[in-house]
This record gives sequence, structure tokens and C-alpha cells, in this order.
Amino acid sequence: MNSIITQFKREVWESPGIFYKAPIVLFVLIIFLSAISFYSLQNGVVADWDLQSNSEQWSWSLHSEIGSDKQGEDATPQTVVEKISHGQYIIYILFGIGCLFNTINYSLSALVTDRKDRSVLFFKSLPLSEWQVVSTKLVVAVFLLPLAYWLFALATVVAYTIIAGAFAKVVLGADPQVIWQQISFFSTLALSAVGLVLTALWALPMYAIILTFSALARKSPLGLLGAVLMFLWVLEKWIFGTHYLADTLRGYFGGLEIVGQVSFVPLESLELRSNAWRLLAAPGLYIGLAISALCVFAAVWLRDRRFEI
Amino acid sequence: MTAIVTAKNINKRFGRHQILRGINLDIPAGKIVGLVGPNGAGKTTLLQALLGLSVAAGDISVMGRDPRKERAAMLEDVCFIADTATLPRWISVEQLLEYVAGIHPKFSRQRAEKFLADTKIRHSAKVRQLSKGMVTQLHLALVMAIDAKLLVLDEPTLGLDIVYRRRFYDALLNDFYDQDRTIIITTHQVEEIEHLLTDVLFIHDGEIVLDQTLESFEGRFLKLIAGQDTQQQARSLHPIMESRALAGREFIFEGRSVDELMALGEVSMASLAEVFVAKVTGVGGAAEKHS
Repeated sequence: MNSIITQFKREVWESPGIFYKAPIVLFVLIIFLSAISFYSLQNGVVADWDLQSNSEQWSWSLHSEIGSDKQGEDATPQTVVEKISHGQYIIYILFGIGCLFNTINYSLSALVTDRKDRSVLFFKSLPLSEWQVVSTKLVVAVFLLPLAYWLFALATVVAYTIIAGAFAKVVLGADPQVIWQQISFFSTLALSAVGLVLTALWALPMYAIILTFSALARKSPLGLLGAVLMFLWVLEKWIFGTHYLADTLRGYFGGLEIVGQVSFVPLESLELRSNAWRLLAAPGLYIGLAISALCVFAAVWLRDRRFEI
Repeated sequence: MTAIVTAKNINKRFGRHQILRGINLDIPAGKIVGLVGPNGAGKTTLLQALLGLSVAAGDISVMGRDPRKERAAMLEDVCFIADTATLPRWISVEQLLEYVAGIHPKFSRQRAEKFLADTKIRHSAKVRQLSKGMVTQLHLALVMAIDAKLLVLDEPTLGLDIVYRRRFYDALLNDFYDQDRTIIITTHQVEEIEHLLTDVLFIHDGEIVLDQTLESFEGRFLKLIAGQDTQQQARSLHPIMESRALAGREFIFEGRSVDELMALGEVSMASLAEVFVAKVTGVGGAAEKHS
């Protein structure tokens, strides 16, 4: 157990930028921009706020003193709550994109950098099998990095909602608790967690393939992967006149799109359940799992037999 | 004595090139074995085969395990340093200690700290910030702190200056070696490790050309410096090498007695380096004859 934890620690030490520096920067940036946005709103808008906490039909008017676009605009608290909820989704999307970009980057370099700088010989001098090495990298890419980004997104959402609540209290004189009660905080949280698991399942073959190319490449795994895909595409199109590869890739990324949709529909909706079942029942998911297993075998074989550059 | 390393008929080929040719080894516990050979002789390939890092034909057993099938388990009792420049440059000393402590069940962090206390290496420093000598000290501290039965060193002092090379081997001898531990060192700088070894293996062109204890080596190889008048007699005794010397010609003999050679000139023990050159040059040495 200790050795497994140490392996994960090593990954964090080796790629601090991917694991926590990038999400921290994103966190700071989002909170900073949110604070500026709320500050601008505070200076540009005078709120005439009438809240009836026991009523579902709140009335909330915003009037601008300095002629903003919102001059005279009437808004309900529900609109503001929706905007906060919308902000939450945007935060999850931003962290999702950051996570995808950095995880692909991590997977591309995961099994090539130690071969390039020859530190693979040091790691191979320790009682550690390549199965452990490759599976650790895959778990990091498929589960730990998304989890880390999800936690950072959660922290950002909490901070963002606190700022929104503070703004509501200071400027609009509203009770922040009422705002908190109205936003679907836990629903969004649970939903993004469901999205995390489904994405992990669907993304597994993609990261396993990237890791295999990382174990295979001598210089650039991305270049090699691109060249192989291009070669297969051209070969298939010109020789056989078919386009199975393109269709497969389209279908695969279409599946990722469904995963994305799952994360942005109400938790209790039928659409979520139907999409989740569609994913879990898709043969592509299980074909992907089989491809992942083959890729892990290939990566271990390459690390055992052809690790030197 | 229990054999720590046993290899039978090891063959390895890269494409058309035969790298190892039917190598047989039997290394008992408590030995310091020098695997000596010129560049490209197959030293590293042989070590990699013994450590399960490359696949070679033949039977190999290290500490009773097959390195090809049980490499991770075998490495609990075996340490190796490929060369000291292989420590990851992004890691800090503190992280490195924590990492090895977490991975290796026989690593004593306390022991490593003790070795490092005598150096100027800071725990917060990254490996890339250390000098080459410091990296060597750090790697050595890690290895010394592992309770391993076999230590394999592949050109461990490559690129180091003479001071660090000396310190490296002194530490190895004083702090690591005992009667239960075995060390295999590969190098082509024979003279540097000669005083350390109990046994020597010469490898040339993928074949073991000499497998000898240092004790028997000293009685087996003699050097003769012969003047003009005795050179023909010396040649008739079939030296394994002949070369020019300041005071005449220098001959290296294998299996001759001091008494046989005494009358022909000045006789002394041949050094490991001289015998190594004699063994690996072979035809070249013969070509030099009579020149």
C-alpha cells in the first residue's frame, strides 16, 4: 500500500504544474475575475431589493445610476440564482477543459520522459514492475487528475458562491443563506461527480492508447500518434475506399459529448438516466475497455523490452 | 559457497550482430568481481541480461530467481547503478529519500541520512542543482542504505574526476562490502579497480576470455623485459603479447614459472591492465610482435 501511495506521490512531484499549479492559477483567475465583476456591478448598479423569504414570488429590481445597460431592468432573485448556477457550470466546464488538456499532455509525456533523460534506469533499479508503473500512470490519467480538477472546481464554486453571497448581502441587503438554499449546489456537485465517473470509463481507451504511444515513441508521442492515424486514414480511404476509422473516432468523441451532456442536465431528469444508460449499454464502452487492456499489455511489453532510446 | 549469480550459455543477438556468445558465469557470495572489457565488448548487455532488463537466450539465476520473470522481487535483494547520471533531475533530495523509502522494503532512511550528513548535499536541493560529484554521493548514499546482497555497478564512475572516483570506491569497500555481499563492477578502466577485486572476468567480443580469481591471477601472468640477446628465447616460450619497452622488449606470459623466465631478463608480475590488453588485442598484439 505504501509503495502504491509513493508511486502516486512521484507523479505529483514530477508534474506539479499539471496536478496543482495549473488548477490553482485557474482558481485564482476565476475568483479574481468574479470579484472584479461583482465590484463593477456594485459600483454601477443600485439595487432596490424587496425580499419575502417565505414567498416563491420574490421581486427584485435593479437600477443603474450611471447608465449601464441594465438601467431600469427588473430581475427576480431567481434570475440571480440562475446566474450563479450558470456560473457554477461555467467553472466546471473551464476546469473540465483544463483537465482534458493537461491529462492528454501528462499521458503523452508519462512514459517517454524518463527514457529520454535515462532516469528509467534508476527507476528500473528499484523493486517495481512495469505493470505497476504503467497502471499507476493510467489511474492518474483516468481518475486522479480528473478528481483533482473536480476538487479544485468544487473549491472554486464554493469561493465563487461565497463572493456572490457576500455581494448579495452587502450590496443588495439579502440574506446569503436564502441564495445558498436556492442554488442547486449539491445537485450540480453530484452531477459533476457522475460525469467524472462516466468520463473516466469512456476516456479510458483514449488515455491507454496515448500511454502506449508514449511508451513507443523515441521523440514525440503526439507526432507518432498523429502520423499513425493519418497513415491509417489515408490507407483506408485510398486503398479500400472506406472510412471506418473516421466513423469510429466520430462515434467515440460523440460518446464523450454525451458524457458532457450528462453533466449538465438536472440530476433527477429522465434525460440524465437515459443518457447514462445509453453510455453504459453502449458496446463501444466495452470494446474500449478491451482496447485499454491490450494497450496496457503493449505499454508494459515496450517498457520491458524497448525502453532504451 | 552459494552461487549468487549463475548463467549458462547466454546468447544475445541484435539483428545480425551477435552480442553475447555462450557466456557461462558462476559468481559466489562475498566476491567483488570486475567485469572488464573494451567498449562494445558486451559488458552492459550481459549485465542487463542478468538484471532482467533485456531478454537473452540461456539460463540465468540471480539470488535463486529468474530475472526475466521475477525482476521486481529479485530487485529487493539486488541494487544496481547504471551510471550515476540516471537520477531523475526533477526530483529533490528529500523526495528521492521518501520515494526510495516508500518503494524499497530494505532501504534504511536513517542510514542514508547518515551518509548524507558527511556531504554538502541539502535536502531541499533538486538533483539538477547538484554537481556531478554530489549526484554520485547521493546515488551512493541511496545504494549504501539498502540492505542488498548483490550490488551491480555498470561503469559507475564514468565522467567523474579522479578524486570522486577514489572516494566512490573507498566508500564502496569500507561501507558496503562484507563477506555476505557480492559486488559486480563493469569498467574499462582496469587499473582503477584492480586493488578492489577478488575475481576478474575479461569479456571481449561477447565472449568471456578470462575468468580468474585475483589470487590465482597473480601467479599465472608474468611480465618479462628482455634485452636484445634473449628476445628470441623469450618468443620461443609463446608469450601472449609482445611490445616495445624502454629497456628492450616486454613480453607477457601465461602459465610460465618465474624460474623459466628469470634467466631471460627482468621478471615481474603482470598487472591486470597489461593482461587485459594482451587478452583483448589478441591478433593486434601478435601483429605488434617483431615490430
